[in-house]
Amino acid sequence: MNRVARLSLRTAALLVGGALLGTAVNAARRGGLEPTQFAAATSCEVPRAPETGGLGAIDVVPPTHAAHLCGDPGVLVADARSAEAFERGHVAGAIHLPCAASGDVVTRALGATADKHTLVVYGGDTNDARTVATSLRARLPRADLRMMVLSGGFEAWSAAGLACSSGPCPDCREQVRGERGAGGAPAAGRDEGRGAR
Amino acid sequence: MSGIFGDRGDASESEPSGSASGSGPTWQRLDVVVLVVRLGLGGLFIAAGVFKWDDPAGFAQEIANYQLVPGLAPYLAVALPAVEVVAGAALLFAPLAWRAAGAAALAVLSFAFLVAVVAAVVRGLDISCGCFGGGSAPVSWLTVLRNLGLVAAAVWLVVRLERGQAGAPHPRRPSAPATSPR
Repeated sequence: MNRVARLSLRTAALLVGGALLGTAVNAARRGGLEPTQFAAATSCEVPRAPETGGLGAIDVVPPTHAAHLCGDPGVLVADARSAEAFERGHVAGAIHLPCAASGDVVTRALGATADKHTLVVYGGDTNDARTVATSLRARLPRADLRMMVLSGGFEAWSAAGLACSSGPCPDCREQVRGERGAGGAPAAGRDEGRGAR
Repeated sequence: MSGIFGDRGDASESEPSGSASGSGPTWQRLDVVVLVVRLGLGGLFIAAGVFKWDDPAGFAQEIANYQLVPGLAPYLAVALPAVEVVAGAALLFAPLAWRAAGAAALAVLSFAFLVAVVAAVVRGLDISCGCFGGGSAPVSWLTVLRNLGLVAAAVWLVVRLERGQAGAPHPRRPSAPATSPR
């Protein structure tokens, strides 16, 4: 066997051996990751199956219904749209949780739900938000957390004349910069007149 | 197992003691560079693997954020930290032949990471690198440069270690006049 073949075989052995070791350690570890049950948060990849395990369906609610929940400190509202759309205007008090959120943003958002009983997700339309909400539902297996999707998305909320606000999003500064670099117009201040109606 | 410092063709394994003394100052300098790169690369990947090993769910999320192979994210999250530790340990502690394989495995890993990071930067994704688990810096062109450096270092090590194993510039080879006895 020549040297290259020997090196390739040994390299493959290290890669495969390492992968098997990792799999074995994960299987032996208590609380190890169950790969078939994993669902990425807000990755916009719909989980394979409704892994909600009796945790309740995701309710689609009209804006007027969701508006009643806004004053409740136990309710968290998440905006799944792009950073620029969030800057133009968003539901007052909403956090920004887009599909491409970084791991840190997602972790912070998931942590913010710890003391909440309801999570309302909205996007550009109902389906955008439903995708993210389904992913979050699988990621947050809490029976005491009610999950809702805003019917019609932000447009419906805005059209109903409900509370909006505008302004920069500290967590998505880099994303906005990227979008502007790609030819988008500056967004800040464009919708000042709509703010906090 | 060889010691960490049993470097340059593993003289301790492949030749009788004393013959390495005739390798000359150039080779000694190169030996030091190889040793430093070995320690740096091996240590870096072992540390990266250990940091990620403790939180496979978090690491799976980091991989999924790249939006390249979301279905494979949990499997990669389980396997990759161990692969990094095994390859890094092989580079640091294994006999010479396996050290070269360790460097080659790290080159493969670094290249895969490079492709993922470039894809993320080009698409303008605002995501964490995930290189050292949670709290890693966001991906940027700086991350791309760093990964390029890792690929280059690993490939260079493969070449050096393979040459050392083959004894190409070895002092005991007939073609090396400096070490010809008498």
